Amino acid sequence: MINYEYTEVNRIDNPHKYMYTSYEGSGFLDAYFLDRLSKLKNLQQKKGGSYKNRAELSLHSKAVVVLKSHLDRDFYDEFGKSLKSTIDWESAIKKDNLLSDNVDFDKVALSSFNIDNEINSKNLLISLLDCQLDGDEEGLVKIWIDRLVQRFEVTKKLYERYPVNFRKGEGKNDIVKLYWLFALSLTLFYCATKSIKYLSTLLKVTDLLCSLDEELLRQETPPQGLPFILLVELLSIRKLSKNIDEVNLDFA
Amino acid sequence: MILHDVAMVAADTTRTRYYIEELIKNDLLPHYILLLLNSDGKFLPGKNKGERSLLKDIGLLKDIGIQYDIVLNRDINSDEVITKIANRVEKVFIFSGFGGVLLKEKILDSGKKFLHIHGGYLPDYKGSTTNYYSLINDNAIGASAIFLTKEIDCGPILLRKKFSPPKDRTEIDHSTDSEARAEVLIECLQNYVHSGSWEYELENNLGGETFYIIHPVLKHLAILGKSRLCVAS
Repeated sequence: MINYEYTEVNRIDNPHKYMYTSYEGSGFLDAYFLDRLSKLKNLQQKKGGSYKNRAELSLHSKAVVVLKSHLDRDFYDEFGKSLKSTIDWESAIKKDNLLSDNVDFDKVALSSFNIDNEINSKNLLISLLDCQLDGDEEGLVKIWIDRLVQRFEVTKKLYERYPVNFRKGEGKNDIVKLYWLFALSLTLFYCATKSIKYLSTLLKVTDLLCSLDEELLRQETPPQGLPFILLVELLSIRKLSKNIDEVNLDFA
Repeated sequence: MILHDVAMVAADTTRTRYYIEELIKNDLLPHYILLLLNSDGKFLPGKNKGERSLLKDIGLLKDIGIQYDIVLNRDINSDEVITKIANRVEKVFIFSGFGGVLLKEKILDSGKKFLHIHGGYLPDYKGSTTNYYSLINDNAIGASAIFLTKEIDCGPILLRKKFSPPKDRTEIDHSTDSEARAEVLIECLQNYVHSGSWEYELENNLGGETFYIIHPVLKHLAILGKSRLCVAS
């Protein structure tokens, strides 16, 4: 059995460069799929209930609604249905909507971010997600996602803030929430554009998230926040493998 | 035929071996070759059974009478290498450096042009491992000849070609990519010989997408796939 090495150790402390990775045959895809599925189920079983960040719950709730309609449109076969059933959609959407009904958090317009100024990564990601979920500012959304992708791909980190010119990050680089918000943004962008480039970066960000302690993930992300992203990723990968005879990812 | 205006700067890599072999085979010989070696001065053996070491190619170059120098310095951006290049008479250097190395401003301002064959069809596929992305999207790979500029993969395009995927996709990193690039290099040099100047297929290499090292899951799908993969519904 091939080990899926990319989540074996903490990838914030030990980033993987992904250079010159070797070909290991279809067994590698099985190893990936089972590793993700196991993480999805573990996180799903132990539901957290004390997540308090209303802004993030609101964004997550909206994202669930948007992505669920995408999943229902694209993944309606038995396997898709079976995998989707691992997520408690109804309660997630209802619960989060109740919380988000009166949410009026301090949103900063995406257009107000400028690389001539220092950028706070969390504020940027929240504004970005807000635009993506409302379908606003498509051009600007791509510009900022591309900048974040470039920064993450070069360093395999997201920093608390980026000084003028958006080059070398500053501050903490182990803020789990930033990686989760970025993964959510990439998930939405991949579903909207079907551009493999963003799926590639998403896989690296979810590798990093899946390599972290599960208790930490539960504290730092909304309930079902990561399982939901993993679900979209797994179904997307399975879809890509659909016409490949050697690959059968029908694990459930 | 010796191309008096053309030199080559090359690291000891599989790609360099492919380039030198094809240049010899097609009788399109650079006037001078600068070889960058590890500081221990040892040549890498051929990685695959039957693949020859660069040392043998150098023997051939010697027999043909091509001038060459060896520097025990992997860093093409070092002052030692820049000085050697700047002092040469040839105007264009075929670039075949170590993977992932970017040419910095100082060497790009040395007064020479650097002919690079990018592994990907430009301007659509800029950046790294792009042929795996194009296999997924288009079931094809590409190679493009450009003169290097400060912006990565954005120099003017002299020639670009698309290729069918290889039968054995596990060989892409090792041989297919190098073969495609060598073919474009030879055709680009043939064009230069025929026209007497460097002509551009697409001078304005704008737009396209910049890609980063592909995730191994997608790389496996690109290798295992036999056709364009099902991305959209």
